Order: sequence, then C-alpha cells, then structure tokens
Amino acid sequence: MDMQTTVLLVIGVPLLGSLLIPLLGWFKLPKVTGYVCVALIGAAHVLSWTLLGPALGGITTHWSKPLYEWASFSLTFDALAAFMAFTASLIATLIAIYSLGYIEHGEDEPEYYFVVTLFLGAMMGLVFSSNLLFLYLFWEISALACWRLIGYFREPDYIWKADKAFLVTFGGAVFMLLGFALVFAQYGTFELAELRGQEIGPVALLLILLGVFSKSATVPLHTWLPDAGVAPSTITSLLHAAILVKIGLYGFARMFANGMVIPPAWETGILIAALVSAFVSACAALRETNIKRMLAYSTVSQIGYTFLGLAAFTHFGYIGALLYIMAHGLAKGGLFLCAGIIEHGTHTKDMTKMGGLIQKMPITAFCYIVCALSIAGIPPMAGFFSKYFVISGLVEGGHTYIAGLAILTAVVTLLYMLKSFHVIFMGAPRGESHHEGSPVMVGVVAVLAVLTVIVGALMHLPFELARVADGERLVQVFTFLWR
Amino acid sequence: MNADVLLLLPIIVPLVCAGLILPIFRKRSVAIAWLALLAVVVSAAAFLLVAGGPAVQFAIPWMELFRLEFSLTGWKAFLLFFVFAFQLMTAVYCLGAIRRVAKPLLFLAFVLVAFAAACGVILTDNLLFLLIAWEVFLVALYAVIHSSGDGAEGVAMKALVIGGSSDFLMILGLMLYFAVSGGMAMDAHLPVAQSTASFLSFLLLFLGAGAKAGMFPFHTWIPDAAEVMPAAGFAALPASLEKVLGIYFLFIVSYQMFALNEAARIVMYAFGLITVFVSIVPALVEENLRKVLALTAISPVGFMVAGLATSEVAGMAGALLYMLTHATYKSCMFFAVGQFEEHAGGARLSSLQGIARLLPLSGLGFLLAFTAAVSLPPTGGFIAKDLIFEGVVERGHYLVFLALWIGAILNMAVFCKVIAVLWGRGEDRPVPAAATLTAPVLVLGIGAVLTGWIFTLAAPVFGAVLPVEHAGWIAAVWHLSPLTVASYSIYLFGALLFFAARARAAEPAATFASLRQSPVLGRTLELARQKKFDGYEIGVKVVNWIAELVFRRFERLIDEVADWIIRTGRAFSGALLSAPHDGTYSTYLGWVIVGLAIVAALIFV
Amino acid sequence: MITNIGLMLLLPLAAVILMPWVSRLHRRAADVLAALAGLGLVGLCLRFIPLRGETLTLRVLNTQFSVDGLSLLFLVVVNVVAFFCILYSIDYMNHYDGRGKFYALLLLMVLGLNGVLLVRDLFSLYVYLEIVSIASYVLVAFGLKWDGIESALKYLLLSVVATGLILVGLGIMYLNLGTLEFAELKLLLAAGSGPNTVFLLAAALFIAGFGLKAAIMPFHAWLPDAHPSAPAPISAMLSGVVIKVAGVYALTRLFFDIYPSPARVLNVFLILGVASMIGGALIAYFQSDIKRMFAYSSISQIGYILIGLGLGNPLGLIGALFHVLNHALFKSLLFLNSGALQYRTHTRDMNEMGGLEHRMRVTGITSIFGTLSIAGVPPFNGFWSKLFIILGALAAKQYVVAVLAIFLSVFTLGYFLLMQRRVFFGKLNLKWQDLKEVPLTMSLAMIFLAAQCLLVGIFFNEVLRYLVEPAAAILLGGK
Repeated sequence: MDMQTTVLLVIGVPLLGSLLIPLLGWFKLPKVTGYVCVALIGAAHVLSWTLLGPALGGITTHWSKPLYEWASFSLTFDALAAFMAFTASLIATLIAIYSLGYIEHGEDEPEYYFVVTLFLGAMMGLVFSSNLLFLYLFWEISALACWRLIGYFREPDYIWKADKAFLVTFGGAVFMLLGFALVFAQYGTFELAELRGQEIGPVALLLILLGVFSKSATVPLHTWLPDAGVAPSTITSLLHAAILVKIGLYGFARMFANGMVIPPAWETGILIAALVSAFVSACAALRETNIKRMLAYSTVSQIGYTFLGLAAFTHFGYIGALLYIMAHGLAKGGLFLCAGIIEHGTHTKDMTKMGGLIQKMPITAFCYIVCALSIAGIPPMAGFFSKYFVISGLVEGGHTYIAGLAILTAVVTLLYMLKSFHVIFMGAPRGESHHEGSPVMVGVVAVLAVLTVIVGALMHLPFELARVADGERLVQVFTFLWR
Repeated sequence: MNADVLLLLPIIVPLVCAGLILPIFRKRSVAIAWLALLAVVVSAAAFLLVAGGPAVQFAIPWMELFRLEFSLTGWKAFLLFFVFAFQLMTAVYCLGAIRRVAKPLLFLAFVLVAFAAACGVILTDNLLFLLIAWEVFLVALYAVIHSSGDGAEGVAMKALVIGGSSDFLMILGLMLYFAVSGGMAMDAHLPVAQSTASFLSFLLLFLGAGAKAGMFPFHTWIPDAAEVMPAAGFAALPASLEKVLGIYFLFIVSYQMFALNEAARIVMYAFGLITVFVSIVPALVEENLRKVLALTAISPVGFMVAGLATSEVAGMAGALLYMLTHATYKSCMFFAVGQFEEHAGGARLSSLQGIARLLPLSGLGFLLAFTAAVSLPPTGGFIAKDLIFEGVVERGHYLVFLALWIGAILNMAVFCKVIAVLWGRGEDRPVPAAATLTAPVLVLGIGAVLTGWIFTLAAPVFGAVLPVEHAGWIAAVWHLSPLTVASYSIYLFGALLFFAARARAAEPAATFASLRQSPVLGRTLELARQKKFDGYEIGVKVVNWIAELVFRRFERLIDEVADWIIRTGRAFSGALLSAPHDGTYSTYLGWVIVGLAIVAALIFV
Repeated sequence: MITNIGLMLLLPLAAVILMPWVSRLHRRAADVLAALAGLGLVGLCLRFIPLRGETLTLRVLNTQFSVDGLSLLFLVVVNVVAFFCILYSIDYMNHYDGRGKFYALLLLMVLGLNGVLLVRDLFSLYVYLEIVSIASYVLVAFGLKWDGIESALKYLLLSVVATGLILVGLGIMYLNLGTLEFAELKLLLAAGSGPNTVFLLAAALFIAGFGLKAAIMPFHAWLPDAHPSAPAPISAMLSGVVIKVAGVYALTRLFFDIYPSPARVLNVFLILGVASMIGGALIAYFQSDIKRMFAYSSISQIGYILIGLGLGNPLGLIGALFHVLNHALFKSLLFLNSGALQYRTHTRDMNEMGGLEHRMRVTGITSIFGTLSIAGVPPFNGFWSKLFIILGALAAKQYVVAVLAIFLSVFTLGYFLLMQRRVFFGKLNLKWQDLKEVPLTMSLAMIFLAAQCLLVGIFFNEVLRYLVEPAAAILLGGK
C-alpha cells in the first residue's frame, strides 16, 4: 500500500465509515454500533502505525487535487501529521472502548457512536490537510460533532452549554477564516506549502489566533470548555485529550511552526497570552469543586503551557509542545475516564461530597494519581518531560521571566492536582455505597495510566518523532544562544 | 556479567521487586519484607562487586542531547557504601517492624523504589536523569508517608508539594545554567558573579537542592512527617537518604557547577544560619521525641550549608562528613525510637521517662548515636563540626562562626535533655526485644562512633573530589588551637545550659519548658507551633487567596460580562426593533417611501 | 433544444389547464400530474446545463425568450425547488381542500417564474412578474385562515406599490430610450458615456420596486407576514425562490447585464445589503414563531446576496449567485421542516415544542442540515457562497462589510441553534409523546433537499463550473 492510499484510508475509514453507523441504527441494530465505532477508529489507529516508520525516516510527501482555481484538496504527510494522527487515534480508540461500558443502550446510542466516529474522522482529515480551507472545513466538522456530543444528555441546561461551545468555537473559527482570507488577499493562495516563510500581517495573525484560541480554550475564550463538562465523561475525555482542544494547538503548529511567519513583535504577545491563560485557569482549577470543571480548567492551563512551547519558536519548545500534546492527552484522557467511573459510582460531580473512595475503587484511585502526577509534571510520568522541554524551550528562546512564571503555574498545578486526589480518594468515606467501574472501563483507565508511565520511561521514542517533526527548524535554530 | 550491567542492578532490582510486590503479594507482609531484604542484598552485592574494581563509566544512548550516563568513582562508591548500609539496616529493621505499618505493601514497595532512585541519583552523571531519579524518590516518599494510614495524607501532600515545587525551581535553574554555561556539563565552575542570569541560576539551584536537604524555608514538612510516618520509613528516607542526596547535590551546585562569590556566600550563610535556629530553638521545648529528632535533623543542614558556603576544602569536607555522620546517627535514633514508643505507647518525652532502661541494648545504641550527635571526639560528628568551623574561620567569617557555635551549644543542650529523659529514673526491668529491631540500632550506633575513624581512612576519597591543598587536613583539626578550645567549650556550655535549666524543672522532660513563658520567644514559639510561620501553610494560603481572586474577579467575570452584554443587547435591540413593526399598512408604506428617498439620495447625492 | 425553451412555459401552462379536469378523475391524479410536470421541468432545465452559458433564443410573436447562464442558474433553482415542493405537497395537502386548485396555482407561479427568467424585455418581465404575484397572493391565503387572508392582503397592497414603482421606472426608460428590449437597452446605454441620468433616475425606482419584491430592508414589511401564513410548500417557494427571481434576478439583470452599474449604485446595494443582513438577523432572533423566524432569516440572507452583488468584483458576484442557489435549497428545506412540524403539532410556536427529534427523526436531522447550511458551516453549501462573498469583500477592501458578514454568520448560527434547542434538541416535551414522523413524500422531499445541501457543499467546484460561473460571466460582461 503506498503512502497516499494509507493516508486516505486513515482519513476515510472513520469519516466515511461513520455513515455506516446511522444505517445500522436504522436497521434496528443499535447494539452493534458501539463495536463498529471501535472497529473504525481502531482501524484508523492501526493504519496510523504504518505511518510511523516513514515519519521517523523523515519522509515528507504532498498530494494535491485541484478543485477550483484556488481551492485544492491537498494532503501533506510528515512527522508532525503522523505524530498527531497516531496520538489522537490511540486515545480515541481507548475512549471508544470505554464507551462500550459507559454509554447506556438507548435510542441515542447510534447517534453517539456516529458522531464520535465522525469526530475522529474530522480530526484525521485536519491532521493531514495542508490547505487552509480544508483545514477550516475539518475544523468546523469537529465543532459540530462536539455540539451534538456535549448535549448528549439533552437536559435543557446542557443543550445551552453545547450551543455555547459550538458558537464560541464556530465564531472563533469564522474569524480565523477571515484571517485566512486576508492571507489569501495578500498572497493569493490557501496552500500552506506556498505560504511557507511568508510573513503575515498582524490583523490576519490576530484573527487566526482568535480561531486557534477559541478552539483550544485559551483565556478569555475558554469558558465554554468547563461548561462542556456536562457531556458524558467519554466525550469530555475525547474533547480534552484526543481531539477538540488539540485541534487549535495542532493548527497553530501546522500553520506557524514551519510555515507562515509571525511578525516578530507579536511572538512575545502570544507567549504572554498563553501564560495568562495557564495561570488564570490553574487558579480557577484550584478553587473549583466540580470534578469535571476542575479537570477542564486544568486542560485550559495545560493548553496554555503547550502554547508557550509552540510560541517560543525554539527547538526544544516545539518538541516539548508536541510531547505535551501526547502526554496531556494520555493523562487527561485517563483523568476524565476516572471521573466517569467516579460519577457512575457516586452519582455526583461535587468533589466535596466524595472522600475515601480509595477503599472501594483502588485501581481508579491509583490510575488517577498516576495521571494527576503526570499532569503536574512529576517524573517518571510522561508529563514531566513535556513540561521540562517547554521550559527548556522558553529559556532557550531567552524568555527567562516567562519561564519563571510558568514554573509558578506548575506549582499551582501540582497543588490542585494533589488536592483533588486527596479530596476525592482520601479521608473518611462519605455518601452511600460506591462501587468500582465495570471491567472494561477500569481496564481502559488502567491502560491509560500505564501508558502514561511507559511513555515517560520510553520518552526517547516520541521524542525522536517530535524531533523529526521539527524538521527544518532544527537546522535553523538549534543552538543554545543566550540572547 | 560486566560492570555496566552490575552497576545498573541497584537501580533495576529494587524496582522490579517493587513491581512484583504490588500485584502479586497480598497481605503477606513478612514475606514481602524478606523479599525487600533480598532485593537490597542483591543490589548491595552487585555494588560491592563493581566497587572493588577500577572506576566504571558508561552511557546508554537516549534523547538526542541527553545520554544516560552512569559512572562509579571512588567517591561515589564511598557515598553508595553508606547508602547501602542504611538500606540494609532498614530492610533488616522492617522484618520486625513491618507488622506495625498500616499499609505494608505500599510501604515496602515504595521504600524499594526510593532506594532505587537514591542509587540512580548517585550513579548518574546526567543532570536530567538525576532530576528524574530525584523526583521518583519524592513520589516514593509520598507513597511511603501515605502508607502510615489515616492522618498522613496532609503530610504526604505537603511533602510532595514542597519537593515538587523545589524541583520546578531546580529545573528552571538548570535551564539557565545550561544556557549560561553553554553546555550540559556538571562541572563548569561557572562564576556566580558573571551575570544576573548566572546568579539567578545559582539561587534557583541552591534553593532547589537545599529544599531536598530540608533547608529553611522548605523544612516544615519534616517534623510533621516524623510525627506520622513509620519509624523505619522516616529513618530510611527523610532522615538519611534524602539528606545525603540533598547535600550531595548542594555540594555539586556550590562547588562543581558554580564558582561562588561573596554575595552567593552571604545568601548561603543566611539560609544556613536561619535553618539552624528555626529548628534548634523549638527543639528545646518540643515535647514529642520524634519531633525533637526531626528538628535536630534540620539544624545540621544549616551547618552543612554554611560549610559548603566557605568554598574552603575544610568547610566542604566538613559538610560532607557531617552529612554522612548525621544520616548514620539519626537513622539509628529513629530505629530506637520506633522500639521505645511501642513499649511506652507514644513518643511524648514525658511518657518515655526511663525507657532506655527497659530496652538497654537499644538505649545503648541511642547513647552511642548521641556521642556523634553532640560531636564528641572521636566521632565523625566531631571532625565534621571542627572542619566546618575551620573553614568558616579561614574565610574570616567570625560572626558566622559565632552563630554556629551558639547553635552547637543549643544542640548539645537538646540532646542532653533527651538522654536525661531516656536514661532517667524509671522502671528497671528489661523487656525482651526482637533481634531484627535491636541489631540495626546497635550497628548504626557503633557505626556512628566509628565514622570518625572511617573518614580518616577515607581521606583519599575526599581528595578525589576536593582540591586538597595541604596534606593531612583531617589531622589538622586535632591541633590544639583557639578553634579547638572553642570546639570543646561547646560541650561545657551545652551541658551547663542543660543543668541550669534542669534544676528549675520538676521532670527531665519539662526541662526548658519555662522558655514557653518567656515574653517574646515564648510567644514566637507558640505561633510557630500553630504553624503560623510555616512557609507551606502561608504559601498555600497565599496561593488560595490569589486563586480565589483570579477565579472570582477575573475568570468568572468573563462569563458574567458576556451574559450582561447579551442580556442588555437583547433587551435593547428587542425594544428597538419591535417598535416599528406595528403591523399597520401605513407604517410599512412609510418605510417604502423613506427607503425610496434614501436610495435616490444615495444614487444622486 | 430551442423548443425546450418554449416547453419551459408550455408544460406548466398545460398542466394548469388540465388540472381542474384531472383532479376530478381521482384523488391522487392531481398529485401525479403536478409531480410529472415538476419532474418534466427539472428535466428540461437540466438539459440546458451542458450549454455552459451559451445563449439560446426563441422568438415567438415578436417576443424573445432566451436562456443564458444567468437565466439557467435561476431556472434550475426555481424548478428543482418547485419539484420538491410539489413532492412535499402530495402528503402535506391532506390538511387542505382543493388540492387541484393548489397545484394549478403553484404551477402557475412556476410558469410566471420561468417566464420572468426567459423573457428578454422589461415589459414582458413585468407581466410575468405579475403572474407570479397573483398566484402568490392566492396561495398565501390558501388556508382560508384569517391571518393568511390578512397577510395576503398586506402582501397585495405592498406589491401594488412595488408594481407601481417598477411601472414608473419602465415608463421613464421607455420615454427616454424608446425601447425595453434588453439587447437594445444595452447598446443604447453603452453608447452614452458616463452615468446615464435617465437610467439612474429609473434605477432608484427599480431598486425600491424590485427591492420590495426581494424584501430588502426597509422594503421587507410584507414578508414576515406573508411567508409564515402560507402553506409550507408555498412558504418554501416564496422564501426560497420567488423573492430571488422577482427581486434579485431582476436587479442583477438590470444593473449588471444591461447596465454595468457605477460605483454609487453598487454602494446602494452594499448599504441595503448590510442593513438587511443585520436587521433580518436581529429580528429573527426574537421570534418564537418558527416560520416568522425563517422568514426574517430570509431577509438576512438576501442581505448577503445583495452584499455580494454590491461588491461588484468576480468573487463577490460568484458568491452572490452561488448563495442564491444555496439559499433556495436550505431555506426551502427549512420551511418544509417547519411545515412538517406544523403538520404534526398544529402549532408554529417553538416554545410549545421541545425534543421533537426523538419522534421526528427525519425532520430533526434534515433541519440540522438546514441550520448548518444557513450558518455557513462547512462542508455544507452555505459555507462556500459565504466564503466567496467574504473573499470578495476583502478583495474590494470592504473590511467592515467582511467583519459584519462574518459576525452575522455567527449570529445566524446562534439563533438557529436557539431554534434547534427549542424544537428538536433536548428532552422530549411530554405533550408530544405519541407524535409520529410525517408521511413519506414529505420526508422524501426534505431528505432530498438536505442531501443537496450537503452534496452541493462537497461538489461545490462542479456546481460552480456548470451553473454559477456561466451566470457570473454574464454579469461580468467584458470585465
């Protein structure tokens, strides 16, 4: 199988395969839909394995199918895309498996699995797209998928929150589209390959950032993300860990890391925005008592960190950001799935009403603390390395003070992560009888926790991939300059 | 097996055993204690095999710039020798003591992890890996504190937050260090005075490493941990291994990585001296023996920091000696306390009156450790303290010397009180004690006395890392000099202080209690007891306050403002738009006419 | 091929004439006849597509009928939407009496629309426009409910004003230029250099007149009453097609093909377009009557089309024309959705609905397609046309317009999500526990239209190549 076919299959299997699921629902086979969903997403993941080899070999390929004068469907395969496709599909597969135990059989079941599969398909499409228009297109498909998923439980308040998420991300994205249009007005193309090395204007940059920040939930466009905590835990997990908020990050990396050039004066501005976002949301996470909202704020904070890495525009910053995407995905996915088990077991999301759960759900507790420590940046968990390289990248780029403040944020992160663990699992048990989740759910969570540790221990493998993804930057910036 | 593999065994074997303990063994605490002992013995054997041969150095390829470099030199072997001694003693002690631990599986598994991490810290030559091993140690410590059951969670969190935060400081310091020195080498001797960045880097690394060792203001979790942790756990981790590692890294920072200047020295002295006094003064009045020992585990850190700050061979050698001696006697004391309190039903000094007479062997071990603790010759404590004094005086820092001297006197007074309580009048009927519990106490007690002799032998080892300028430097402290007189006067003044206070107290345990009533100091001590000066408590409060502020006044505000805009905008536009839509034909016709006029105007004007 | 042009008019005419007899034969015979006529018309106009913008002319009795790119685009829109409306009506009209009359009027309306698009002189255009209007008046009042009759009356009265304005315009043109034939007008106007005052004088009247037909703000007042009161398929026709043919087509033909407008006229388009876009959306947001909401959103979308025209550059024009097609598809779909809701729940008040997607799957899902299309969410069709308009705005350096257009598309999504939330998405209102999905042909019509929304979005390049670009080529003339 040649590369192009593989890439098309990685995109097509979930994207087009998802259409199969409503058909099954139509033919009164709703119970099969979950397995079909797992199979489709799993197939995409398995296919993405075959991409890792060429990616590590530094192979970059580009295909383009002209559709209209300036709109062509172009795909790019490189290490960055392979890295992201692999990570996202891995986590999504695990979450899909978990869903089998989590989602109750009902009339909305086929819709759930359909949209989940579509969601991943859109992500895969986005990952390989190298035309701004198609980047935007897949970007929005993911937004509409998340709209349906956040409102899955159909409570009136939940629907409003789903709408809010859709509106904010859509709004940000259309303004980003305006930014793309400005770029187009300037350079006459939407092809990223042709835009490489071109400096874009500040207005276009701001507009694009609006889209990126709204999708990746950066302060002050972030409030939809904690609100989206009303979704099923699998979905919040998917939003936070595998797909949605990573889209903004990936988009930023795809567009700017080795592509369009940001006006130099604005680089520090992005760093400061990211830092403020990281700090504010870390503070919010410390004060929040709803477990899912707390985790969501933590995501916002970690996203800020990832932006710090990306916007440092240094070798290690970039690597750190990519590793962050992976490490945070694994750990946050695990945490949300833990939250799902806890919610199933205790029927509450209020952490202050929990306590002592470690006695009834020891495995969940163990997985929770492993993932929490990873988020907090404690080795040997994977999260440490990403945080380390991000800070390294900041110092490398001469942003010492920003690095210092980032450290402060990391301390707050450690504090709220441990606090949540203690409030939920330690102390005297409260409330009625609790129970551990079903085997498939606990199993998936355990796999994520173990992966978090394994990825930490085998950090050199993703590191290598991220390093290759750095591509030309490596040559350009790879020095320890003290500016 | 070649040396490379053997060298990795001390890291791998405990980790593998720890991995086995968690899933396989369930509620067979004695069996796993034996497994743990086996793991330590195998590691120690592997180490001894390598240590006998020539120096080993090898690297495993890892991430791009970072290679997993390991080495074993004479000096490292010397350190590791002590580490393994503590490990062996702990493992033996655990055979008897494990039944008293609330969660034995967790305890043993993570004690092993901590051992592996400690070996990793010493064996590696790579700063990143060192940092990782160190934090693994921290995580293990966190779990070990948890293993003591209910009531320990808060302390566990405190320990991990303090440790983790200091690690973050260290990471930033390291980055700056790499950036300034332009390489990854640990021995660049970067001048602190070179630039702001290098000073900042030094400060961050110093604070980070100091935090590991338990330096002010990062020390406050140690007395808390001492109160709740199993005695074996505290003896093994915070009292010995962590101090060893912390001072080891502090030594690397202050000597190998940086070339200190006067400003850096003043910073180090300041932190060191504050550390001495914030711990030794409360120790005078403390009523819980565990806390007394924990507090007296903090004040030596101040001495060591001061010694390292001198950049004099004598001072640094003194600090390193002190670190090893202290670890030896302090773990001995904790092992003993673990036995005492079981018979006395608690660690309060008042209930421990005369306990040493019931457990004479352990009492003896404690007494031997005492000699090292108050630096009686010929213990390592004596040599170490004198070397530190010599270093400080050589530098001409007489005020620092004076402060340290006073600190040492207070230290003497505290230990006098402890001994007076333990060996004081009480029941004189020995009770049987398990050999696995008593043996480590005795061995370490004897070891504490012998450290002076061992160090004299080990002079070449220190010579390998320190630029020994004049031969016979260890013997130098034996010369009769004003310094020696000052050194000996410590015992006199300390004892006098104790007896003066003892005379006014009814019970030995109540000695110095009157300090509580003294005007300023008493109030300060009371506030300290309420954790009013606890950096962690204050820090958490401040962070919570800031977080609350940011959360309510900024984060939530975003939504509120957005809601307000939507609400008012809606009301406003609703009113504005519904008014003209009154459904009458004439209005609509009017619009058409107005519209036509506007269009015409736009076209023609 | 040329005879096909005649058939475009004769086929509906024949069906209209036959309808009274046929409808007496059997209850379903009228359905079959109307559907066949509709299908025939679709087939006929699709056969013009391979021409790719070539002009075909048929002369009958000194009247010229011809098909060019611009007409073709609108023809396809009209007939495709009409066919689906007829299909939908087959079951929908069960609620009403006189299905034969209904079809006859509907086909008469189609006849008029086709006529407007085919004729080559302004007077005939005016005549066919009146045919459309008359059919519309009656159809709006077809339910014989009081609100329908009232709004039909309002529609009639305001249309009279429009007609009057157009007539005066025509008069001025004819008096000064002596002809109303497109081709001759074109030559005459091109001969006079600079802004032709005569034409400009008429232009104001035309803009107001056709603007009234197109329901551009501030000439929109009749629409929010007329569209909701009509039976759903008629609402779909009115909002989806009639306002565009009667308003937008006429304006484009006049101001781009016949007389390449000067900047100040284009500015009028822009200003009116922005006003409609904003005003329509703002008012739509406050509606609780689902059809009124759709009606106001039509005004807003017409604003987009007008903006595209007003930009005057190729991107803007292509966007505007593409949006005509797209809006026809998704707005008629949405009106059919609202009809389906009304068919089952007998109400148009969104507050009384809730969670209906659990009972009306097809309506629910297709309405999502409509919602996403109208908001310009890719990969649905509305995205591409809005993209063209925005690119056009940037190319014309109309940055404020671009930002407004972007902002309004978010706003549009906002109020359509509000609709979704009140009607479909959410917990089922227990009142509708026993609701069923609408009958087959209604579902089919909605499904087909929804599929088209998606397919046009996915194969946008083909649609552009075969339909929109030939039309735009006419508007751009030599440019």
